[in-house]
Amino acid sequence: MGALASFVPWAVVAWLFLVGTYGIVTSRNLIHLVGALSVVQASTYVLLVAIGFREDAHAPFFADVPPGTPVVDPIVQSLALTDIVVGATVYALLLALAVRAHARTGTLDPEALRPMHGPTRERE
Amino acid sequence: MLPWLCIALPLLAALLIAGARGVLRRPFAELLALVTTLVVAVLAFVLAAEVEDAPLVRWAGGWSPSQGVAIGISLVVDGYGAGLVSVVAALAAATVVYALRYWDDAHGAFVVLVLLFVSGMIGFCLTGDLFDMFVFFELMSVAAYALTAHRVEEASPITGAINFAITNSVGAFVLLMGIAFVYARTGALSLAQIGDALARAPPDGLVFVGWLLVLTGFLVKASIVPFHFWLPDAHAVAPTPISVMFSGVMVELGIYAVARVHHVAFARAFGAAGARAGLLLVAIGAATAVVGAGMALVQRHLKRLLAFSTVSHSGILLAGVGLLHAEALAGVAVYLAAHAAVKGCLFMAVGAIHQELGSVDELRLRGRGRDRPGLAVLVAVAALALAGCPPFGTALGKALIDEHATLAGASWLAWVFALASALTGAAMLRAVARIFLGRGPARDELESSGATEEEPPEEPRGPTTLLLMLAPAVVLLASSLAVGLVPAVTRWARAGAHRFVDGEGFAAAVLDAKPWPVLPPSSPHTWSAKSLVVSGATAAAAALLAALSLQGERGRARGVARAAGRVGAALNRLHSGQVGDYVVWLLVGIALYGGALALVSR
Repeated sequence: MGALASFVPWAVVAWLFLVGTYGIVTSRNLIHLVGALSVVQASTYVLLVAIGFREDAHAPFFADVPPGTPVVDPIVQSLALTDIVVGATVYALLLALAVRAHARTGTLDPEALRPMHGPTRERE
Repeated sequence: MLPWLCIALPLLAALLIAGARGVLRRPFAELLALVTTLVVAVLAFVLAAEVEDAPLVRWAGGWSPSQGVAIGISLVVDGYGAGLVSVVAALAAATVVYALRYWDDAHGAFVVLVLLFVSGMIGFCLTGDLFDMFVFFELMSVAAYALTAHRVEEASPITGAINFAITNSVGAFVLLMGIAFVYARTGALSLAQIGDALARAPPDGLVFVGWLLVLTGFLVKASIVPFHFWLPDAHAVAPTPISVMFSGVMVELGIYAVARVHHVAFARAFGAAGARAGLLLVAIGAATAVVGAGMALVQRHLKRLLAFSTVSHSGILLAGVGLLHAEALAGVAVYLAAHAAVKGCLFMAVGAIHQELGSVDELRLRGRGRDRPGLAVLVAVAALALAGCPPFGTALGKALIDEHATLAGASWLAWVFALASALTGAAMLRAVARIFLGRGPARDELESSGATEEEPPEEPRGPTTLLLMLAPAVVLLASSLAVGLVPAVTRWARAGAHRFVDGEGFAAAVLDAKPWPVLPPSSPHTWSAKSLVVSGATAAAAALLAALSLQGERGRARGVARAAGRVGAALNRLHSGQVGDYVVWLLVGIALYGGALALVSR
């Protein structure tokens, strides 16, 4: 069970990355696109936390265990938190842009909204 | 204190202006932004002078390394870092002057975003920690997305910004995965410590994959083929002062990051394989240079044309970095500074063309500029500088890289650079001839497949005077000339380059506070007859290509023009404007370069 379970986190990372990228590539709705991007980012969270994991280790605080007890790596967890904050900023901006795009053109379809080919262009 | 000030001052100014929005009158806010950027540029010069013998190392929160372990986040200032900060700040100051009365009052947040953008870029240049690079990368990127979409009344800037944001975010996540793999192998995030940890053993698959993913993240920012698709879209729709900063410094920061991370963190680990990894970078850079230049030639939208020329010149920079030698790196530094100035000048001039002549479509502008000789001369000289005409700094930088490439046995690289520069210069010179002299046919097979807007958005007309637009452009062009003429520049670039490639010295300075080993003083560059001839010939070739390209369908090279038109149309269709395509190309690029890396490193 140990050998089988040990590759599961990496498989999850790969799956999330590929599914999220598939979502971005085939998306027909800007809100869905942002959601797919967040799935891609989720793969980085899992990767970071999985790298920091140690078998039979405690969570990284010492309120109830003596210092020196093996704990999982806290640095990668703080990296993941920073990643989440960065993600929140990017998604807030992207969603605001999506709302603006819809207000301006009435559509959320990336294919219809291509810059310089979009609904503002008249037929020549 | 000084390094922190360089990062903090723009941030504080941004917060002050944002917080006092109701109270602070707009001219005062812009003046504050201008003063801040100028002060930071001066501070960076002072810093560059201070770091002659040892880099300046500062640990955030006082977390200095203890017992050989570095947990804290470090700021490491060396000559090149400080130099790049001053280029960023100076270009930002020119941008703020250009944009001084550009907007009406509705767009008051512009300077705030520009200051945040500048702060992110400065932090990126000065940090010595790999994850901190990611954080500043994202800070500058988010500010860039918001700035691209600044004209939210129109649809195109919004979708251009979304494409930019999605592509660069995926690139950033790939970068983060690379950082995670490197951390998994070394347990360190500080570049110096990573370098030391990796140097202890020959690199295995995990280290190569980590290198590749980190590289990919930075190459997306550096708009290297096939990660470059976001750049033309972003440039075409972003406000002109923002395009100045994007093409001038933001893209180049990706190249800087590749060089920095490679030399400090990975070079010692790679050892002999490093030369082959460098060759991969050279090949990628050369391919990008040619593809970008070719695409520039088939554009009718002036800003897209300049965007593709940025792609091409970014490829030239990457190829110079890939040579992995101090002399080539000195050339890269000189070229970077000179190109930033020339590209900034060209974008400002295009903005002036848009304001005065009413369009950025080359075909629609045909002949409209006949009574503007001053503007014509400015754009023509800048286009020649772009093509690498001596004595501009672009020619000097390329000559330095070429000379080393020939020594290293890669003399074909000089031909690639000449071709790319000639093509990009030709594209701009053709535009000059068409707009200001009225030459060339009204319809052009080669160009009409290029994307353009039916009604190009009017550049916002505050009471902007032409002077405010063109004065910074002229100053930038003069700076590019100064980079090429002042001998101290090459001396400084060479000294800085020798420090830059010394990864072991960097690590010793950061972790053990050892000063750099003493180096013999660097010599200024002396132009060889061969370099002068090559540079002059490249500029002449650009003019010739422009003339040939103007003949189009009617010329003697009819068959060539038609074939080129078909290729151009196919390439233009590839740049579909759909972000899904761009992300697919990103994955294809990772697979391609990963496969190539596996091949060269066996």
